[in-house]
Amino acid sequence: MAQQQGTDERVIERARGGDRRAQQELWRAHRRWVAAIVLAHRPRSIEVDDLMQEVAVKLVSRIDSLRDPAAFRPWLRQIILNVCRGAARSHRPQLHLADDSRTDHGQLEPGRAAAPPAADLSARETLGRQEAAERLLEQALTLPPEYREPLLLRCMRSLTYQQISIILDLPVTTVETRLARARRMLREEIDEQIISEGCA
Amino acid sequence: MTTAPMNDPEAITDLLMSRIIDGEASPADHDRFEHMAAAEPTLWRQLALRQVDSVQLRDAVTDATRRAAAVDLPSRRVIPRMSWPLALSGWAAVLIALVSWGLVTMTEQRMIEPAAEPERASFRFTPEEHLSQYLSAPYVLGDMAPVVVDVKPVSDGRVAVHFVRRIEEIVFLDPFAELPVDADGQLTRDPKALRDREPAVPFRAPS
Repeated sequence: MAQQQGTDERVIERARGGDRRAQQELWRAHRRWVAAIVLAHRPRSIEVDDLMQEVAVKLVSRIDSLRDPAAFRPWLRQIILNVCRGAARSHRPQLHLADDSRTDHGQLEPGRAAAPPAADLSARETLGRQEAAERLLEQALTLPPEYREPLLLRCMRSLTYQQISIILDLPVTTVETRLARARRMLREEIDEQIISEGCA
Repeated sequence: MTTAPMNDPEAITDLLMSRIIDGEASPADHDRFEHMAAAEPTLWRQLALRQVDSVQLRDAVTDATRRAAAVDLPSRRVIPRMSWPLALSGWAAVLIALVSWGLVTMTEQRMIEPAAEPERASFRFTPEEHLSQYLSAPYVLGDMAPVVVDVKPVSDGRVAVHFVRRIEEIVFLDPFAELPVDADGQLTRDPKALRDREPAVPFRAPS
């Protein structure tokens, strides 16, 4: 961790000096968790990659304003939050980008084929698992931000509690507690949903 | 590993389960959880459910961020942000230049052809007016916030601000017609090529 931090700081120093390669290296090393935070905070109708591009541009154009290389992660997180807030402010609520393969008219989008009616069981199982996973993510996104953010960061497999604590600028104990609480809240939400669907 | 709050059994259980799920539990944590589960066997079920949740959520997040996690830095060089006095001076220079140009032009026009000027001026659209005209087209659903991609001083002392505007449009195609594709066989991204394939019927906005 300390060695990683040292390497990071050297790259950050070079990036601050305008070294294009270092900027690229820095971005590639961090963009996965950046995507998780964007996912946690974006307005729901704006694509994650649109906001990622904006964050990338801001990272490069503002890296010279970073005073302490050790504070790079919380600094970058603040940029992400500002980009997401800015997008939420300027977003027109009537715009909704389709995220489904079907349009409002029930027509298939061009280039997508309809599933055969007698799809095999394994395909249906896969689809069922995907749907369940998507529903779970939808539920996770309804958690309060202080819980959903560490939860989504933890989904980036390589991030340890300590790395999450550095990004969020929180003690490790707080990260741990929030993760544990987030998992309980998520499970309770799902249980409630199952009960309400069973009653319907 | 850190210690759990000792006064709240529910919080302790949550914390132990969370550590087990994340592979961060110590042998002592495992022993403690097993001891608790011996008294309350439903804890095993709770643990199993949360483990499944964790795996599914990880898959969903990986899916949702796959494309985003591949976004690279812009290919063009981005000039570091300027300090605000410099930026403001740049904007002031642009403003002054525009106002000066406008005043000079108006004066010249009045001197040369005073009678024709009011009529010509009414046909001169600003970029915003042009955009507004375009946005009023029936196939335009709206526009998104512009993104500034580059800010740099230019040799004459002004500041060039490069930004990208994004407009959301819609095209309705005949589902039985051959769709226009690019060299890679993907549906073309050229709006004009798509619109050219639109059936020749009056535009009907989706209800």
